[in-house]
Order: sequence, then C-alpha cells, then structure tokens
Amino acid sequence: MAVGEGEKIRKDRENKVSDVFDFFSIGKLKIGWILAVIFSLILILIGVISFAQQEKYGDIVTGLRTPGYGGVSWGLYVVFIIYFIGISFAGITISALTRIFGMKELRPLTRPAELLTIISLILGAMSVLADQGRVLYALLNLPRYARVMSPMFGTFTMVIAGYLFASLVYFYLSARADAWFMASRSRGFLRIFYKILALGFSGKTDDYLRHSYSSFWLAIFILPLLVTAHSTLGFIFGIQAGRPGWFSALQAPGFVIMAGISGTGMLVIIAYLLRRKIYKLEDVITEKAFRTLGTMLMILTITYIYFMIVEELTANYAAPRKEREVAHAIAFGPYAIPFWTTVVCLLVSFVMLFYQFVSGKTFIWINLLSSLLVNVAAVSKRFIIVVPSQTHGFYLAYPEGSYHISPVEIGIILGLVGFGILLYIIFAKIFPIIPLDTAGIREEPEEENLERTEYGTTLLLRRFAFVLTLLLGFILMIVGFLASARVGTKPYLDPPIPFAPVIFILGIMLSFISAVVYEVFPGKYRTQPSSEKF
Amino acid sequence: MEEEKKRETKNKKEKRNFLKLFAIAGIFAGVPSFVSKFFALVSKNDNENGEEPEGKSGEKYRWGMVIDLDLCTGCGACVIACKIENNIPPTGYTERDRGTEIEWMSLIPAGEDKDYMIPIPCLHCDNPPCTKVCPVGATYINDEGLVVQIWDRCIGCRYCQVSCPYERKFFTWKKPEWPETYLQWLNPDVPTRPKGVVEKCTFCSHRIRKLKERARDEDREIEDKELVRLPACAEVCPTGAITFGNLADPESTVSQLAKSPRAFRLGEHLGTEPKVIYLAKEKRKFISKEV
Amino acid sequence: MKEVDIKKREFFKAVGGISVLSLLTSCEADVYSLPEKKPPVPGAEKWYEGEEKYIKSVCGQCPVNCGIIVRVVEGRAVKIMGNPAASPNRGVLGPKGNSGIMTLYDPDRIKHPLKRVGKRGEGKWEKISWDEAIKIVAQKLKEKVEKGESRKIAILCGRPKGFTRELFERFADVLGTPNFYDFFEKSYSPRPILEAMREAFGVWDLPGFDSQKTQYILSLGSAMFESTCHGIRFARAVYEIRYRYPARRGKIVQVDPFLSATGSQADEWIPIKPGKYDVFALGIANVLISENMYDRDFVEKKTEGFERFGEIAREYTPERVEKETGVPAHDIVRIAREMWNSRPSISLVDERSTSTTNGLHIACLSLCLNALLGSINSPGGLVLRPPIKFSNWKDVKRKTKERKIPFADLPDSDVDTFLFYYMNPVYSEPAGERWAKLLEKADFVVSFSPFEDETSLFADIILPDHTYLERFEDAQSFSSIPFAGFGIRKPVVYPLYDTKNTGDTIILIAKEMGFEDEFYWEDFEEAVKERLKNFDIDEVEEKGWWEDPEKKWADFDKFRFCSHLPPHEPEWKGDGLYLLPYKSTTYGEGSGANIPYLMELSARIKMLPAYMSYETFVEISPELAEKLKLSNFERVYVVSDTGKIKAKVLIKEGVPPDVVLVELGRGHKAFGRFAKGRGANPREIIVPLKSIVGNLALWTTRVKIEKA
Repeated sequence: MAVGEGEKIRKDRENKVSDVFDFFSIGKLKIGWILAVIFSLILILIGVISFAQQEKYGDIVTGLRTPGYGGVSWGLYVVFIIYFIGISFAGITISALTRIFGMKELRPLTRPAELLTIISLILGAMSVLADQGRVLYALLNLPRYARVMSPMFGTFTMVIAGYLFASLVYFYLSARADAWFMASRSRGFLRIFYKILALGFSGKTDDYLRHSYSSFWLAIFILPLLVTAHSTLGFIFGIQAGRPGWFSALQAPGFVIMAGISGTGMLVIIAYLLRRKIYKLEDVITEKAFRTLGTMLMILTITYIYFMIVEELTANYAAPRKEREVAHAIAFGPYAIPFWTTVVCLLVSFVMLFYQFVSGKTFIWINLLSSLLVNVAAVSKRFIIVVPSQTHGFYLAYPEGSYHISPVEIGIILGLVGFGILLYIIFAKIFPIIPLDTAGIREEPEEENLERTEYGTTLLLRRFAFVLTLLLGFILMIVGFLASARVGTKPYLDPPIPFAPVIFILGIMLSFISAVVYEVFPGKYRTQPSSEKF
Repeated sequence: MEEEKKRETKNKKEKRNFLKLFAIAGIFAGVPSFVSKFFALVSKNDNENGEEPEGKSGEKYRWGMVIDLDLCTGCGACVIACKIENNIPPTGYTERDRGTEIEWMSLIPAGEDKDYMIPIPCLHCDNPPCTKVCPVGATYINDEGLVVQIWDRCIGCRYCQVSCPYERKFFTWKKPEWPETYLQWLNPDVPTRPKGVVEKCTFCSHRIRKLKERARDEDREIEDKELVRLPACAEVCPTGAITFGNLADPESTVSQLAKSPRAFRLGEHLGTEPKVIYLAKEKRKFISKEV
Repeated sequence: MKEVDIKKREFFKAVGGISVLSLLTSCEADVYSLPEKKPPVPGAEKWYEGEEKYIKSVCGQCPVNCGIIVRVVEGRAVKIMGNPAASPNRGVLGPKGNSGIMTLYDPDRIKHPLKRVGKRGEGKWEKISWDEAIKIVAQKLKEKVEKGESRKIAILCGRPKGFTRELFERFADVLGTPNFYDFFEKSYSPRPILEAMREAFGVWDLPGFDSQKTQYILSLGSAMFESTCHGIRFARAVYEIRYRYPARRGKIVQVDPFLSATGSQADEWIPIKPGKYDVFALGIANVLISENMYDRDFVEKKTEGFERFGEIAREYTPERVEKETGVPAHDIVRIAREMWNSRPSISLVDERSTSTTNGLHIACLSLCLNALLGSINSPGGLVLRPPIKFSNWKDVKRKTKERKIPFADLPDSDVDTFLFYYMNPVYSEPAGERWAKLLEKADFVVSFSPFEDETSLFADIILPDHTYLERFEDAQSFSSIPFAGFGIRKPVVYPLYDTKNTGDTIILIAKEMGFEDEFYWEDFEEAVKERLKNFDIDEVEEKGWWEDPEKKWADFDKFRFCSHLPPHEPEWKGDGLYLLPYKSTTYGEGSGANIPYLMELSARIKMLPAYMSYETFVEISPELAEKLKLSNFERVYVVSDTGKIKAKVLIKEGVPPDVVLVELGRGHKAFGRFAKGRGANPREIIVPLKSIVGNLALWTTRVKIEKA
C-alpha cells in the first residue's frame, strides 16, 4: 500500500463519509436499487416462464432443430454458455494479476471483478442446464456418470465446479478483512452475519500475513486453471473433425483470448457504473485503472484480430471444399451480419484503444465504448462459431439449414441476465463492493511490517491441517479423475467408484479449501496487536 | 476347546497377515496396473498396449450393412419400415415441426448432380465421434460394434448430435404425438421415446437379440441367411439393395459384398470407419438436359 | 368477455404453476409416451398375454396385391412384412404396403353405418344400424328398378380384378343397369394398354413381363420405380438385370419429359417432349426395320399387318423423329442398335406414359416394338398370362341390353343413383367439381368407403367397409407377373369397428331386394369359396398365395401390328407450360394421403422438411424460375383455362423449361385429419379431355404461373 496515496484518500474520505454503511448504502433501500431489483425480477419472471414452457413442451419451443434437417442443435444457449463463462475470465485474472504483479491501480476493482466471475459462472452453469433436454437427468446423471473423455467434462467440472469454487475461495478470503471491519461497525443481526463471514479474522498481523501468502499461491494456481477451463470450452468445438469450421487448433486459444476480451470489457463497464453512476468513486477507481484495462483490452483485441485473420486464411486458402463453404457462408452468406459486426466492433475498439494508448491521455468514454463494442463482438463471434457449422458444415448432401432464435430462448437468457443483475445488486447491498482498504476506509498494514506472533505449536498444527486437506484434495482429485475415466472398466459402464465425478470435484474443492483451512485455523498468539485505525 | 480357540486366533492372525500382505501386494501391483490401464484406456486408439477397441477383434459378431446403390431405386420403403418397426411418431404438419424429423433410416441426395437418393441409416462407425464426446456415457459402441444409445442415461445435451458428421443422431424435440388409435400398432419390442433424449438407429438390435435367443434355444449357431434380411429396412427393400450381416465372419454375405471393387464408405477421410458399406452406382450417362 | 377470462385464468395458471412446473416437469420428461395400458382391442380375450402370431394375407394398399405376413401381437397388427411365397413381391414390400397398419388404425375411420342429416357435402351424419341402413338402400334401389329406371343407377367399383368386383358387376346385372364402372375407367388408369392388348392379341389383360431375365428395358415414361403397378416386380428385377451376367450389365433407359425418380435410377435418361413416345417408338422401329434388326421369324409366323406398319415406320426417319420429339437422331439409332444387340429387351409403358390423349397409340407402338424385337412370349420378354381356372357362380339371367354411358360422360348424363366402392371421382377425376355438382342433385348416393372421403361426403348412406386387414376375399394381382397366380386375403385382426365386408353388404342388400336366387350364398366368404372350388383353399391360405406350378404362358394366335397409324398428336388445351401431374412414389394418387408417414416421405424424397409434405409444390426448371424471377418456396398460382390452384415453387434440375410438374395426392377436402385441407389438387384445373380410349386424359392442360 503506497503510503502517500492512501493517506490522502483517507483524509478526503474522513471529511466526506462518516459511516461506511452510508457510503455503500448497505442495508438501506434506495429507490434506484428497488427499481433495479424490480427490473431484474421481471427479467427473471420472463426467464422462468420461458423455462417452464421449455420443460413442459420440450425443446420444440426453442428455435433449435436437428442439424441436417433444417436446423441447428446448439444455438443461443451454447453461445451464452460460452459468453457467460468467458466473462468470468476478468475477475479472477485481474485479482491474480494484481496480486502477483502488484498492479495497484486495479486493486479497487478486484472485488467487483471477482463477483463478476462468480456470478457469471453461476449463470454459465444455469445456461448449461437450460440447454439440456432433460434437466433433472442432467442433475442426476452428470454427478454419477460424467466421463473424462468428453470435452464437456471440462465444462462441467473444471469450469463450473473447480473454477467457480476457486473463485469463491479467493473471493471469500480476500473479503474476510472487510467483514471483520464491518462487524466491528455494526450491531445486531448484521454483526453476527459479518462475524460469521470474518470467521476468526481479528486484525492480527498474522491474519494479514497468512492472507498475503495464501492469496499469492491461490493466484498462481488459479491462472492455469483458468486457461485450462477456457481451453476445454474451446475443445468442445475444436476437436470435432466432422464439423467443418470447428476443427481447428485455434479454437482453444481463441476461446481464452475472447474470454479475456469480453471479461475485461464487462469489468470496464462495471467499473464505469460504480465510479460515476452509483458510488462516485472517482478518486478510488482512477483514470489509470481505466487506462490499464484499456491497454489490456487493446492487446487482447489485436491478438484476437490476428487469430481471425489466421482463421480466415486457413479456411479459404486451398482449404477443403466444405471448410471453404462454411467460411463463405459466414463472410458473405446468411451470417454476414454477425460476422462483419464482429470484425467492425473489434477493429473500431482496437483503433480507439490504440489511439488512447499512443496519445498518452486517458479517455474513459473510449474505454467504455470499446468495452460495449467488444461485448457485442463476443456474442456475435460466438454465434458464428456455434451456428454456421451446423447449418452449412455437412460432409453429406444435406440441405442448408437456418436458425431462427425463438422467444423462449431469448426469454431464458434474459432471465439469466436478470438473475445475474439481482445477485450483483443484492451483494452490493450487504457488503462493500470495493475493498475498504483501497477506498481508504480501512487501513491495511504494510507487508514489511507484518510480524508473525503465532505460537509454534498452533502454527505447526495449522500447517499440518493445511497439508492434510491439500493432500486429501489431491488424492480425491486423482482417484475421482481416474474413476471418471472408467479405468479398469469399459468406457461406457458406470465408473468403478460410485459418484466418481463428484469425488473429483470434491477433490478440487478440498484442494482450494486447504487455503481456507490455512487461514482460518484457530491459533494462539503472543500479543494482540491491532491494526484497526479509522 | 482352548486349542480350538488358539487355532482360531491363529487362523485369524494368519488371515489378517494374509490380508496385510495382500493389501501391500495390492498397492504394489495394483497401483501401477491401475495407472497403466488408465493410460491404455486413454491411448486406446493407438493400439500400443495390445488392447484393441471393442468390437474390432476377438468378438464373434461385428454387425455391418452393405447398401448397393446400383440396386436402390430410392422408393423409401426402408424409411417407412424403420419408422413402423421402431415406433417413430409422424413428424407433424406445422411450421413448428420443421426439423423435428426422426428418421433413423433416411434418404439423402447423392451423386455429382445430387440427382438420386441414397438410404442412410446410422453408419455404426468403428471409431465413432459421437461416443467419444458423450459426457455421461449414454452412447457407446458395444462389443458387437453397434453404436447404441441409453435413453435413461441421456441428458439431452445433443453433443453427440453435433459431433456426428453424418447427422445420424436425432433429438426428441417434443413428446411423440400419436393419434389414440395408432398406439395399437406400436411394436412391443421397442420402447417409445421420452422427450429430450438423443436417439438413433440400432440396426434393429431387438431383432438381433431375438434371433440370438432363438438360436440359443435351438442350440445352434446363427446362420448368415437369417441375418441378411434381418433389420426392418433390409427386410422390406424391394430391390434387395440392403444387406445385413456379420462382418467378423469372412464368409458372410456382407463380408463378401464388402470386398467388391465398388465398395466405399461415406466420409472415409474422417477416419470414422463406418460399418455401413456402400456399393457405388455405375457411371451413368445423360444425353443432354435440353430438349 | 369469456375469452378474456379464459386468457386471464390461463395466465394465472401459467404463473402459478411455474414454480411447480419448473421443478416437476423435468420429472414428467421421463414418462415415456406410451400409456400403461394400450387401448383394448376387439377380440383381445382370445389372446394370451404376449402371444404373437404371423398371419399370412394379401396387401390391399394398391391393386398389385403383394403377399404379406402380418405380425399380430395380442390381437393388434404390429408390422407388415412381405410374403416370400407370393409371386408379385417375393418377400419384399414397398412403402405403401409397409404402412398398411396405418390404414387399419386410421383415427378417422368410419366406425358404423351413417345416414346423412345435413346437406350433401356438409358431412353431417347420424348413426344408424346395419339393418336399417341396408333396408333403406334396398328400398331405394328397389323403387328405382320397379319404376323401370334401372339404367339411372350407376355402380362404381374401383377394383381392377377380383370377386368383389365381379359381385358388384353381378349386382349391376341383376339390377338391370348397364352402368358398371371399374378401375380401368378412371382417368389415370392403364386402360389404353388394355385396349392395345385387345387389339394386338385379343385378350383383355395387362401384359406380363418376364422381367427377371430381361437385359434391356426401354421405358417409355413408365414410372416403374415409383408408382406404377410394375413397380415392385421391376424393382426386384434390377439385380437380375444389372448383375445376372457379371460380364454384361443389362441396361435401363428411361425416356421421360422430366428427370423422374425412375430416370435418376436408370442407366440413362433421355428427355423427350411430353406425349411424343409414339413418334419416338416409330423412330426406333424405323431403325430396327431399315437396319434389318428385327425378329424375321417371329414377324413372319406370328404377326399380321407388318407391311403397313413397315411402310409408315419408314417415313419416320431418325431425323424426322428428332424434329418432332427432341431426341437426337444418333441416340435413336444407338438405342435401337443397343436394344437389338442386347436382347432379350423390352419396351415398357404404363399409365403415366399413356396419360396423354394419344395414350392408345403409345401403348400400341410399345407393343409393336416388343414384337419387332421378338420379345413376345419369349424368356425375358412380354408374356401373356393364362387365365386362372376359377369355377363360376350360377349364371345370372337378367342382363340389360341398353348401352352403357361412358364414364367420362357420366357427369352430363341423367344418372341419379350411385354406389361408390373404392372410387372417389370427386377428388380423383379431372375437374372433379363436375362430379360434385352431379352428386349434389343426385337422387340417392351410397358409399362403401371406410373413410370419409370427398365422394362419401355426398352420400346419403355410408356402409363402411372393412379395411383390407379385416376382410376375407380373394386377391388377384394386377402386376405384371408372367404366370397365373392369386392370393387369399383374410382377416388378421378382429374388425375394429362396426363395419362390414362390402361383399357381405352387397349380398345382404340383394337379398333384402328379393334377389335370393342370384345371391344365394350365406355370406361373401361362401361365395368366394365357391369360385375357388378347384383349389385347395387351406393350402392357399397357409402359403398365402397360389401360383401356377408349371408357370406356363398363354398362347396367342397372331400379333396384330398397330393399326392406329400415323401417330396422333396429343391434344393440349390452353397455351403456356405443359402441366404434368404425376403420381407420388409413396402414396399413389391420393389414396394414401391419410397416412402421415407416406405423406412425409414424399417430401423427404425431395429433401424437403417433412411438414412441407402437406403443401403442394409446383416443380419448375431453374431457367423458368430465372425468367419469372421466382425463388424456392415462393407462393404462386398455377392458372389454366378452367381455374387456378395455389402452390409453392420448387426449383428442380431435370425439369425442362416448358414443363411444370405437380405431384398428385394432396388437396383433399375430406379424408381424415392428415389429408383434409392440405395443399391443392391439380386435377381441379385440368381441362377434362377424353383420350382415344374414352377415359379422361390427365396430361391435357397448359398453364401459366402467376405470382401470388
């Protein structure tokens, strides 16, 4: 924590704000918030009605149909599975980058970003369910029979379970200090709530020290998980040799980069809203933060444009006829509108961001506009990844198909978006959306000053418990993985251990829970130093 | 008595020791074999570890089909026979029913000018893309080379459907709608489908099963001539273009036909190794298109 | 107000049910659609649980009469398979035969006798008992006969062969009416071929073909792989033709105005102007004669009239034929040589080839080609079937001497009492509204149809027949088997509803009218068995089919070369594009339209989505589409001099620019839930034009296409 800056902010803040509850309007109902809730509830209602339709009459109410017989089998749901999971890229990456490389200007954004990750992953999981023909069977059979050999295994376990849980752990651990702080400022029910959240955090130097360790290592472990997760999503398409337009090694990296673009873009939008419209945090979320995000977005965008050029070249230069046909249908056929939308959005954003980068100044509107554009591009690009190969990519002489998105599909997606918004605003109503230390409300001790005060025995116990959990997690993970891979049995039979996929997921969870164990394990301390100052 | 007790305890101890030994041996022998088996499974298609994919060898039956396009007149009798045999409901007549066709046996255009139709069932690939991707193992290739679908396990994600290069998998977009009287003719050997699952051609596996049972009861082997017209489509084909049989038996009709110089398989470059073999049409000549 | 209320309630239901639904409906998903107990069937008490029988019978979905084996489980017909013992199909079965159980279990069958209560054509009925219905019919007919107006009675029995048809004919004789019409009077029937056979050989029978041994088929527009009654036999012959001799592959040449399904499966498709097969056949004959490639032996010994034929054929040089038909001269020469060199070869026609007004010429000249090639009563050629030696019923004395009114003239006549069996002229005759008008003002109309079809709508009384899987009768094949054979059709299930075998009904009516002497049997089964006295019925029933053990051909005296020369120009009404309606591969001319599977297949064969099979398409060439700026699935009107129908455009390769194709079979105004009100019937706009044999021709009209 830079001393000078923090000091300044704190002083300003002290003049303006007397109560953190007032500032974040926690527990206080404002008209804007209520309207937002009503809005999202309406969206959710639309979604629930649509989903009920789909469950009652079957997927015939969607615009999805048999490929080769005039339709596409995967449509808007899959587009939004990818989109939602893509957005989740932002949060954990920003947090990890901040933690590992110490990008201080992004620190205020870590919590909104992590929350974005968690919520979008939940939405991703829900849209996966919406896509299934039999939701109940999916909930029953996936935990029982999920197979490692399927690229979807990555989506079901890595992304939705592992990634989501890792984010939750990371999110929770970094919120403990604030929870402890809030608990000390509140009374009654809220106090109990925050106390439970803080779970033993008491402002000791040890607490800060441990969190500093654990967050660093979590960040290091989460980053590869993130790449894996987004890659497996790409593999779902990339390893299908029978679908012209899908079979490409670029799918996996492309998915990772596009996830980065849409996630960063969404984060910029949220940062803008928090900064200007809701909490007036101009002094906390600095222009520099926007500039950093903008630069990141620029790099990712140009990378993706490069990918697209490579893609087009491969698909058109001496490619097999079917690949060419699909590429042609995308660029000049029925998919020209989404395709050129993607291209224009990406190019315009890149040019604007590049101008900002070169000019040395920061234009927040440029960042905002390009963020909106790249999110449009993210949806439309996913659309032209998923759909055209099913309507035009046939090796046999099937007639071309088409995809007419139905109100039910749009309804369900709207419902999911509404649910996401609701979760976000409810969270913002019960917990400070910005880490309090970055807002200068709570002071975090300097890392160099931290001193370990824990007695050796509890430290040993703590470490032992940590290692035990981690080891157990790893063992469960491996056993679960091998069993889910049907080792020792035929690939289509039940896994040798019942609920093997659950064991695998539990393994992943336990491995991450080890960090929680490490942090919250009760200890005995020599002194009781308090860093709380306000 | 005491001696007995002693012996018992001794036995118990021995048992325990034995178990211990067994456990240790198990750990030493089991874990590596576990791991090696896993890798064998993962690298199944390389055939490095001597473990061949199911249905490829060593099995008694490997069901296959030969469709002679030179004989096929495109009449569609196979399509109808299949639908009736397998309780497939009519599609419906509104715009809403577009693309909800379920045709295990279907006709698709072929030829350079797309001017004639060919029948196409599920090709029952030896290396099927659809079984690899199934997240729950609801579709798999069984020991006899049939690619089958377990409806009770299927969750309806339609991944196999999009992964099939031949579009031979069908999703039940809606609950089958039968006129009440049609329920009478439904085949009792085949279940009707729930909504929300993927389904496909089974090579009329219920008929194969019945035939096997009969052969077992009569204590004999299944004969080739019983198999040639076994599935509903082959049974009715007016030209006898569709032939069914056991590809594992080199003497069977299908194996003989498959050796024809006209034999080819659909999408050979995809490496799916279909077990439905087509015999090509002889070159035809059109004089001119204008009168 | 009520509507609003309902909507509101629905909405609240929807909203209220949502939370429950969203959780519970997923459970609903695993309930398989089959109810726990199937609906009960008549006669079920006579079956054990799980009992399964394979019952041999004969198909009745089209006049071919293939032998079938029906799998019956617990009294329900479950699957129909081909009977290997039956000569037309030898164990295989076409799409129509396969879907026969849908005819049996049609949801819109007529379940009991009906009496009309509304206006004609309205379709309002009242249930009556069989006794009452038969009494009414007998009364009415008796009145007519007693008034001396028997000639005003018309009996229409759309079966080509069989004892039911003969029973109807007998009934007509007994009533004293000359107006008995059978299958061959319909507009799209092989009547010209029959007439040609009578002229050439003096027999009233369709030719048989020893198709299994043929090496070359010149199909003059015959839909042999689609809809025709040769269909199943020629399909079975494909293997023999192509692979019988490994070194030498037989050849199938299709001469057709458009690329039909048959053309696409043939070895060669030769486009020709519509209706010009006769000129083409003469061109071939010209080459055969001028190059001395004809069977002199046969021509000298077994034919007459060759000189005149030769003289006329000599005028039709390949060059002239090219001008008239559009087939290149060198192809005509080539085909003639090929035919001669790869004998046994045959020339083939069917009802589609003869659907222009000059159908008789076409049929005759096709026979002449066969004679020139020596393919008559020779292995692999056209053969004459000997008649089956059935014993006869006691003769009927009362026969009228009055002249029969031609079928095509019936709508303009004063006939006012009609009995319809297997006939639906309101739908299936060109300009069917003439029939509708006639029936509207008719005195008395009886229909025996098991379905409520267009003609039945005009009936006063409907006496519903069994479907073919419920009734007992003989089954004589209409197909081109080269030797005598017949099957016995017997019930495979108990009658589902209160219907009656029409043979029995006729006998009951006749008895009620007092014709006990002429109709002296207890029931129709007895009548059939009397005819089959010469045969071991049990054995025939067991095998499902009887065929001549010696497989003999019938002898003939002399083949008479065609006297209908020179060729006749086919007549066309109107100007513009040739409208060529054709029978669908899957459901005939519309009689299978109540079977959704067959309907859907007809679209799937064109690679269209199944739901589009319930619409009528007009198939046009890409050139025409470009000229008229039409795109696929665009709605257009097909306009003729007499009317217009709405259709959707389907652009198809292989259609000449001056031809439009419309598939027959849609546009029913009745006929059950699957057929009613779907698509348009092209026969509504066909100008009724009599062909030389007296039937209404189907290919008579030229049309324009207008954007809708």
